[in-house]
This record gives sequence, structure tokens and C-alpha cells, in this order.
Amino acid sequence: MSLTSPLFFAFLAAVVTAFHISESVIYRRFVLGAANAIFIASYLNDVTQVLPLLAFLALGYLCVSALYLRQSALALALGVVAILCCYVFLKRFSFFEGLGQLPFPYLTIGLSYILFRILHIMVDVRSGDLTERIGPLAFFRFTCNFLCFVSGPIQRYQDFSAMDGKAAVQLDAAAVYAAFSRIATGYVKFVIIAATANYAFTFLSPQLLQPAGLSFLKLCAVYATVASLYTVYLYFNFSGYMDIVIGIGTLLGQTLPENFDKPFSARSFLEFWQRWHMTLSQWFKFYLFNPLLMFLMTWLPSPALTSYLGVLAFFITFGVMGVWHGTTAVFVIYGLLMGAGASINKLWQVACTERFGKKRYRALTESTAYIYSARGLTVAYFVLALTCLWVPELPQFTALVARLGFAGVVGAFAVVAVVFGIAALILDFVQTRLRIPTLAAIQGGEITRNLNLAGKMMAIVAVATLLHKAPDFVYKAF
Amino acid sequence: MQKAEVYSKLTTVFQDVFDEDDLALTPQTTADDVDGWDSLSHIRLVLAVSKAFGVKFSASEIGNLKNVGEFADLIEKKA
Repeated sequence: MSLTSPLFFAFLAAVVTAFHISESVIYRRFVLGAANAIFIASYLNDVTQVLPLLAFLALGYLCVSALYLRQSALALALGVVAILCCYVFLKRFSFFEGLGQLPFPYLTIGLSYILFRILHIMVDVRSGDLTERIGPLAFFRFTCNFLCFVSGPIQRYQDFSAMDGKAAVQLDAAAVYAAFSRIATGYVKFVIIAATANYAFTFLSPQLLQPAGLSFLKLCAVYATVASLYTVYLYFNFSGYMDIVIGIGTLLGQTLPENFDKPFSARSFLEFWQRWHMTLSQWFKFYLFNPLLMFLMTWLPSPALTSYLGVLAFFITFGVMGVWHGTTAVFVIYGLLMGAGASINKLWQVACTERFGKKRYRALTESTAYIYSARGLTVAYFVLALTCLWVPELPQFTALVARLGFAGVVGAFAVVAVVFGIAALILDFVQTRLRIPTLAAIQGGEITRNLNLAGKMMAIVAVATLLHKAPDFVYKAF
Repeated sequence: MQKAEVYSKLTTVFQDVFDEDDLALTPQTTADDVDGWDSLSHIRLVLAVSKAFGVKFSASEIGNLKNVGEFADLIEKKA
């Protein structure tokens, strides 16, 4: 079901209305479960297409049930291996083509995120963090919650269970208005900003991938522009999607976790990952990075090694995260680039602390020049690393890198860093210095806020007509 | 274990891990207040605390700690 289709709207209206007919928890759970089933069914042409997904869920449930009976490390390890093998097979990773594949087409949407939910339950059951017995229907509602099915946010079962059909959010006029407003904002991001950026991206990117005679400077400029447009597209497409599902979640009594917290205001690469795709990065931190680092530190306890072990853990964590994003070798490069970014950032912090002392280093990081340089460098690194996502095939990727050469990549990096740093500086300056006194006074008014909402809807209609069609949800592919 | 005892022992562990002899802890102390308390040294800290108090922490307990107060409560519950 496409997010921008009338069918999706009708589906939502029906689910929200049905949910509020009765306050009975059993009834509401039935509505949510049925909604999930209908949502998944909308992706199917044939009932056989859903069988691998059901098998994956059944295996997950079996592993979780086994862990309730026997909370041993061995049971957890066997379960994790079984789940990962099944996942890798179903996702058809290009590295494992020799494994063969199922002889019929089937649904792979949602698998990537179901994987995280199942692994999290297994780890938490084993550690005693999750003692509540999960029934098969609750397991289905959690792993296949239609709001988070395609692309998260990744919730914890404990948080989900506290709200499951219980209307944990008190809905009054203000809350309902805020929910609808958030949904409209999400559509503005998705249908207007992301779609426009995607339009420009699609228009410009062929120039880079075709061997035509662009001059060096023009090549750098086009590459910097195309990479930036893709980043704008990705961010507004994804965060718009999140606004929409979080808004709908409120109407269904659920508080879903946030996935973005102004990522482009980050002052370091490490901070960026605390603000971008937050539920994913938190999952990796909790269930891979921390345990891995703990394992490494137990074996090599010398404090002098801390940052080197950190670098190793960053590379492994981001490497796995990269491979999770896609099934080709370019995604390994993507993971390694992210791991390198995090490692360079960490080593820089350590070197500066040693060189200047903790207090002077902190003062330095709060100077204007440092802040905007750091913001520019952070964003430029991320923007260029994202190239892996829009050139996912290795031959095209190496051809592009070869065309740009070292100088081209550094040139584009410098362009994005300088332009972004200066733009951020100007924008922040304008925002703090320029205050329109009357705006705040009328902003909270009933007429203004409704006018604002109506304006968004009008803009969505106008731009959607102009662009003919909205792009699909980009993260669906990962 | 008494709360005062937890804080006294915890302070020693913090001073040792962050190499700062005059480090004082309050329940409100967070990673922002202690120089060098980052995602890497956090793990070293958790290991040192586990060893000192003879307790184990789960993945979400380690990840969800917000301040020293929560850490001390958790230790008190487990030790």
C-alpha cells in the first residue's frame, strides 16, 4: 500500500474509526491485528508470497519460546544463528548466491525490521529483562505492527506491550489536532520536499554516471549537488514517513519512538548518529556495539587500548549495519566508510583531549568557528558516503569513483562542507537575531493553526499535481 | 547494600576509571558532567562496576542508564 494512495487513506480511516468504536482491550487488539494482516496482504498478488515471511515469524517465535524454557547462552547463540541464516537466505544476499533460492517470488518487505525485533526479544528474554510471556498473537502484533512494518521505528517489546490496544495516549482536542498536524507535515516533507529533491536528483544524476565530457570543476560541482540532493531526498522522505506513522500512532493510542532529532545540527559525526535513524543506531549500540566492546575490553583490559578497541568495534558495528542496508558489495563499502567516520571522530577527540586537556578542548568545541567547521565536515562526510546508496552496483560505483579521482572526491567534499557550514551559520544567525514579534502572538490562535494546516494540504495537492506522482518510500528497499 | 555504601564504593570506581581523584558523585551526575565519560569509557565503567560489586547488567540496562542515581539504584537492587 503506497503511502500516498487513496487506498492507504481509506485503510487508515477505517482502522482509526474501528479502533475507537469500543474501549475493550481485546477488541482493540483484534482491530490492530487485523489491520496488520490487511496491510501485509495489500503487498501480495498470491498467497504463496507470504509463506516465507510466516515461516520466518514462526522460527522467531519458536526461538523465543525455547529461550523462555532455557535461558542459556547456548540456546541464545543457536537461536541467533538460526534467525540470521534464515534472514540471509530470504534476503538473497549477493555474497551467498551459491545457497540457492526459493523457486517462487515472495515478499521481503518488512523482514529487515522484523529481524531486529525478534533478536531484541531473544536477547532480553535471555538476560531476564523481558519476563512477560509473549503469546503468538501479541508476537504478531509487535513484529508486524503495520505502522512500523516497512521501515521502523524499531520499538522495544516492553514499550509496545505497555500500549498494546490500551490507548495509552489520552486523546483530547489538542492531541488529535497535533496528530493530524504532524501527519500533514509528514506529507509536506514526503510529497513536496523529498519529491522535488528526487526530481532534481533524477534529472542531474545521469550526467555523472554516463561517460560524457564534463570539465573537472563542473564534475565536482555536479557530484556535490547530486549527492546533496539525494541526502535531502532521503532525509525528508524518511523523516516524513516517520511523521506520518508517529501521527497515526497517536490516533491509535500508541507513542512510537522518534527516529530523527535534527540530524543536520550535529557538531560531530558521532553526534550525527545519535540524531539520525535513532532507533536503528540505538539498537546497534545496545545489542552489538556495547556487548562487542565489553567482550574486547574483558580480553584486553588495558585502559590505553580503549580507543583502539573502540575503533575496531565501530568498524564491525557499522560494517554489519552497512551489510544490513543492502545485498551488494557497495553496502560493505558504505559500512566501512561510516565506521571510518566514527573512528576518525573518536581518535580526533582523544588526540585533542591529550593535546589541550579536557577543559581547553571543550572550550574549543564551543567556539563559533569550530562549531560550523565541524557541522560542515560532518554533513559533507555523510553526504558523500551516501553515494553508496544511490550507486549500489559495484561496477558503476567504481566507474564513478575512477572518474572523480581523489581530487574530485576531495573537491566535492570541500564544496559541500563549506556551503553547508556557511549556510548553517547564516541560518542560525537569522533565527536568533530576527524575531517577528507579532508572529508568536498569532501563532497559537485557532484560526492561524487551522489555516496553517489547510495551507499544507493545499500545497500538497498543488505540488502532487505538478509532479504527477510522488516517489515511493526510499527505505522500503533496505 | 546501603545506599551510602553504594555511593562510596561507586565514587572510588569512578575516580579510578576516569583517573580523577577529586571526582564527587551526586544522583544527578550525568555523562556530560564527567570529562571523558563517553560511549567507550562507559563500557569500561560498567565492567569496573560489575567487578567491584559482583553484579551483572543486561544490554538494555547498560544502554538506558541516564545518570549516576539510576546506576546506584540498579546496583542497590542487584547487590
